[in-house]
Amino acid sequence: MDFVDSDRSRSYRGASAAAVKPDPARSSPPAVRPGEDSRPNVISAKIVVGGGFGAGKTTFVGTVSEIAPLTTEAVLTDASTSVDDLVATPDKSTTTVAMDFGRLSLDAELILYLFGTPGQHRFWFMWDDLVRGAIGAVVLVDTRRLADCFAAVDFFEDRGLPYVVGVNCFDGVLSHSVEDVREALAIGPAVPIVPCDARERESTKSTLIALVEHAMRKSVATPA
Amino acid sequence: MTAVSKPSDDDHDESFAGLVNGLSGGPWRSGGRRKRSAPSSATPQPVAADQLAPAQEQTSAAVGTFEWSQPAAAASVVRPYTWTGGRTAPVIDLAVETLVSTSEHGHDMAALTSEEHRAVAELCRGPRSVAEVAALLSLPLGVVRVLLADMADIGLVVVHRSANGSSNTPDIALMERVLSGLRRL
Ligand SMILES: Nc1nc2c(ncn2[C@@H]2O[C@H](COP(=O)(O)OP(=O)(O)O)[C@@H](O)[C@H]2O)c(=O)[nH]1
Ligand SMILES: [Mg+2]
Repeated sequence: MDFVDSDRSRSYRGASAAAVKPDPARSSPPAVRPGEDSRPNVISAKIVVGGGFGAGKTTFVGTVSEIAPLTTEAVLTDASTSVDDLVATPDKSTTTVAMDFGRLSLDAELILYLFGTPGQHRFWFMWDDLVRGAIGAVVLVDTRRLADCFAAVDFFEDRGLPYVVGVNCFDGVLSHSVEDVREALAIGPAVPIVPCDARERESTKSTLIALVEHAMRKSVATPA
Repeated sequence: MTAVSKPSDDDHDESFAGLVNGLSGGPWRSGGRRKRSAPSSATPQPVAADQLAPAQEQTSAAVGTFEWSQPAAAASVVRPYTWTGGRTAPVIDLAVETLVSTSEHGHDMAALTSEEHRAVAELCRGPRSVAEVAALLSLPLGVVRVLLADMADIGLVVVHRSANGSSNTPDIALMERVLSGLRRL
């Protein structure tokens, strides 16, 4: 099948048309809410990209994304600030946290979103929102600053989210062996550690493939 | 973004842990990899409304309530969403990756009574995630969540079904589909 851009809008139109003439085969499953059949068929999946500041998260997202990475802002605010105030004066008594993400159409009805985690430690509680429903996470590691990714690894392990470690080769060579990295990060043998150049499309692609394969193995091993 | 020097990392985590726990009820603690204690829970707990006020008092404005992290239910209890005409947001679970599209009704210009609704309806002619709507309209995520939930409530946009069904973890069929999609790239 060809998956070109226009397929997406076409499939959306197709889904609207299906709403007018529902397919009887789709109306049989239980627990289908009223109106469920009228929903467009395009669905999304999510993968999170974590790691320390400068580890290559934004680069990674940009390399695979079909759109220029977008940045969305989340707002930290105090209770007395209404949403009006936020819209009118976004800078007033608020701190915004930027988070970049990219988008990848995997088939005519499936869009994968990649979300780079906001780097600052004090914003990590936002990650709950990000990891909910995610297939898994890629933790990017800069071998010159291994410790920078500790907390990301801790977080994903604590949440039971499947993750792989992508070791960036900043000096062009892998300066630590995979087993050195595993030892330094104190992660188990089941977690894949792969070399990853966030600037290379093939490299980011195979890192993502390694993650999804790992997530599938984990899901088979421990059914929900 | 300020570079946090390594020795102070743990301090940051430590001082923030109270806030993290106060807001999310989450068990997460940080520190060196080897100091990590066994995970006590794999699932984040929802924010209880009564936990929010004390947490806010303890903290400065800069690190107060983080509206994006709150489930819609908690947010509607706590937040004065005057922006939506005093109505509280309906409880729709809008994840950052949740897709929305303009409904047939939303294509009717007469149905679009505000600038925001028109902007969203225009943008979502093809499926867009909540995060995309926020980024492309330069609005904070929390604001967009209320806006979209509101528009879904009055039938201007359709919220696409979640790939994960009722569970919070993607099923194997979805992962297979993602995998073959990635391999085709
Ligand atoms: N050599 C090398 N440089 C990289 C790699 N990934 C990112 N960079 C560079 O490292 C810098 C920081 O990357 P960035 O993506 O902004 O890191 P972030 O803070 O994690 O988002 C940029 O100048 C990138 O060009 C990589 O895999 N190899
Ligand atoms: Mg970045």
